[in-house]
Amino acid sequence: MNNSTPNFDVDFRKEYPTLTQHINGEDVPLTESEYEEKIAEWETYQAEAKVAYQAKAKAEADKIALLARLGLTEDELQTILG
Amino acid sequence: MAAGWPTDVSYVDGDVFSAADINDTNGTLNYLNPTSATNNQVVTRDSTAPGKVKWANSPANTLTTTGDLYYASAANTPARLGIGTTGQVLSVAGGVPSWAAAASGATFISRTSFSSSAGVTIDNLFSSTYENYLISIQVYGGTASPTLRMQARYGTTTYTSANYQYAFNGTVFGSSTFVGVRGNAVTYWDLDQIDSGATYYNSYNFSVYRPNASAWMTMTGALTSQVAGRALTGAAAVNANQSWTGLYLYAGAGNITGQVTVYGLAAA
Repeated sequence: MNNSTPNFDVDFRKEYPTLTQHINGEDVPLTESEYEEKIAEWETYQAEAKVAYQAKAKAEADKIALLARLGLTEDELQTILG
Repeated sequence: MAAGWPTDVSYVDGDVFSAADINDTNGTLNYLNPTSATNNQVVTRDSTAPGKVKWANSPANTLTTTGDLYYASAANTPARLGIGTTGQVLSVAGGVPSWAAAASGATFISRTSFSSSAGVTIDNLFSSTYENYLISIQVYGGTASPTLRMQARYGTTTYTSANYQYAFNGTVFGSSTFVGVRGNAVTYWDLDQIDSGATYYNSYNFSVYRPNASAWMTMTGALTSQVAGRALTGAAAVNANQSWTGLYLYAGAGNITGQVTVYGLAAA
């Protein structure tokens, strides 16, 4: 298991100056337009993933803070909630 | 002319063939009447009468029907084996080839290995030969710890309409906390986080049900995201009536590396 924070700041154009796709056993280079479309798709994914990750991290931090204020562990809270 | 034609003799200028020569009475006449042959027969040496030739069947007039196979039914005896029915496999019975029902159980169909690919298209996986299939996938990603995504294909088309649904649930290793990936009315199956490097492979095993039956394609199975440290089981479907034939895999972001192995399951 990898507990490190995902890298949400990848420069896809720098890291992937060219791209290929694997089509029925053959590696085929993406055309210029296909490349631009794929990079744009990846940048959108990365931006959305970053927002989702930050929201999840905040929710987790809020939960831990709440438990601390209540003086409970998560298992104790689960027991109370039934 | 010299006597004994057509035995091996030396003819000389001026020799004349007489009727007696042509109608040699010793069985050595070596005359083939074209009208006695059938189409596509060929001239061959007569093994039962040395020095003579005869008409014999060729592959062209032995193979009479589309799909025929050419084989020897005995030594030096060409024969045809008519094509079997869909799903039959070539077998052996009595020392000669024959068509037989495919063995039950899993039959290897294909293994596709790919490296640093922005997308992986695998066609001709599903057909009417088998009803159900087993798929094994191992994969890791390139950057950004993306998720693996998969879509169904038919013919040369990747299906991208929002008719995919999936739910895979389980726990983090060593924890009772439930986790999972799920979606409904989306444009792909999202198959959990993959590692941004070769340290951790994600592993998937899916049973795919009747993908080529002009119906929804459904599958059940298990996956483990090693980088996320969790094991999930569940099901997925694409809700469109289609004769599905293949798969398309890609990451939310970055390239993917791995392999896909597919087995067909005999109906009986």
